[in-house]
Amino acid sequence: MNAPMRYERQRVLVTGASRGLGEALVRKLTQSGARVVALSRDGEKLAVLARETGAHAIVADVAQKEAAYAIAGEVVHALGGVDLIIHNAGYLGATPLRLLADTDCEDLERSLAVNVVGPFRLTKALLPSLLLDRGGTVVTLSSDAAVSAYPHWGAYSVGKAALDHLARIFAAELESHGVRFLALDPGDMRTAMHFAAIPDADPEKLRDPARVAEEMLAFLARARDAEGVRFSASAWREVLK
Amino acid sequence: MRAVFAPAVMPERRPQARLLVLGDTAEFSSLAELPRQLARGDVLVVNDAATLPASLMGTHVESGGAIELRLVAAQDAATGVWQALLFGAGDWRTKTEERSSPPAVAVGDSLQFADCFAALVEDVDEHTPRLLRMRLPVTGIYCAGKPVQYAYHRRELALWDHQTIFASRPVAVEPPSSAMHFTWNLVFSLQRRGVEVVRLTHATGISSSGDAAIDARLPFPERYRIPPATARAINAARKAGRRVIAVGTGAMRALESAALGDGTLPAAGAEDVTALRITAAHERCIVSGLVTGMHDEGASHLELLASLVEPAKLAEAYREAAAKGFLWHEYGDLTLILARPKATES
Repeated sequence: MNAPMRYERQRVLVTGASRGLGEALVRKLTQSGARVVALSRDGEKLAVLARETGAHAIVADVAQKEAAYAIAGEVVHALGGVDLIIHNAGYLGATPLRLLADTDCEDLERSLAVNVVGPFRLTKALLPSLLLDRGGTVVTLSSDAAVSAYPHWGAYSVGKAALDHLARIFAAELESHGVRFLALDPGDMRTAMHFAAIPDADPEKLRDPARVAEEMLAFLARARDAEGVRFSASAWREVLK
Repeated sequence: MRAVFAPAVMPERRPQARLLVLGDTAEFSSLAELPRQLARGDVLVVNDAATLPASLMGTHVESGGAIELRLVAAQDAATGVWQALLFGAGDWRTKTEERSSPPAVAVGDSLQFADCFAALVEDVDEHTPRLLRMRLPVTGIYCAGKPVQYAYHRRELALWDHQTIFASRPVAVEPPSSAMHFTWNLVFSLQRRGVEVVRLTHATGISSSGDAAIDARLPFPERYRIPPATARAINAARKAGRRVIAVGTGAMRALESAALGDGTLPAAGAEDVTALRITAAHERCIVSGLVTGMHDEGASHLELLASLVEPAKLAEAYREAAAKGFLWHEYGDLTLILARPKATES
């Protein structure tokens, strides 16, 4: 698939950018002419990615309260504003995955910090760029675990369910002001996170993150045609058909 | 008679902050009532400057002496050239006059800021050897910087305490505090009322350094940027006889600085440095109203307010506001001044 995508000069922030879907998104976006800030805690991997793609690197942890305004300030300094935010950074919970009954409070807190409060804080800190400018799009990553109650996926599920609802509420409040919110489930991918959750998963049955990145960007370029906030892994791909 | 102006000691957002409205009469209202004070078609101009953590602790490499570098003003945003003021060891808790003097610093010397970065001194002011020019990267400032503190606050301020809801471009060293109590809820209700809310960037500089010789030279020239869309909105409003209301004295200085002779803004917007001092004698070109904090006697802000309202009238309203318990300073209450249209304004 090589459909032309409207990303020329688009200003994009991708979190969780050092590997998996985040890394793939940074590569596709920069290839499509976007100006990208790639954010991750992993400074070494990020430095390589920045060198290879020309993305601007920010080494930070989205879960850290103190980091939010520094991240927002650096993003606006580097890009002049922001048109698209992809909150890709996620936290699976302690592995091997465990029953909610066996989950440490701190681990649930970490899930909420990374999966919910971090994206909330960063969205909030970047809102003036979106609301005072020409609008924009904020993407959060969902999962079927946000909808279904799978045993052992508690910490992650609770975080992702809350993140979906965060996107819905923001959408209800801000879509009339030109900011679009989308919660997209990418589906199961051949990523380190997936193998951490399911070590014996069959790689053949998992999607290639590079391909998912391409599809997701194609969808985002046509998201005007799709109504709603949360899209299951199959629902947003319907739009591409 | 000097009125007692109480400072706001809790750095908190208060959507219900009080609002002194000075038009033909003085009215004591609240910020939540701002939409009622404005009319369809009015243009409200907000400052989207984000505030940097402007106090950087470090070491003068040549002498090994501890220093604090306080950002004063961005001279060139693109290259990251800053004017900055050097203090000796100690921090904001130490009274300025009790702080040890900083080591003597020469052009070419190096300042090291923890593990974050090092920078060379590019220039030393000939009158004030503590005033330096240096190249400081934004990443480095966020890494090494701490938010500037005010002695009268009951708790230490975090970086988020320094941001207004409009905070976007990281160029200010002190918050554009007039918008500190604004909420998006207020902005949306202004928009529903038909008020157009537009942005500019004014890089608010330091208001006081604690050094009389330096304070006498304030404000230093400050950078501003008016986007084309803002210039167009303001020109259209003025052509139609609608009001332009600045939120903050910095926004007002930027607008008046960029005005062309015919009372319009350049259609392509403007990006420049201004040292404009607005006084009672200033012929206002663009701004017909201002939302601003409660200012102390003697502050250069009061001089600026005199371009919009008679000083005697303001002083009387301030006395009444103080008696009603209005709070002063950052996080204090607010004033909306609506000037009478000038005879030349049609």
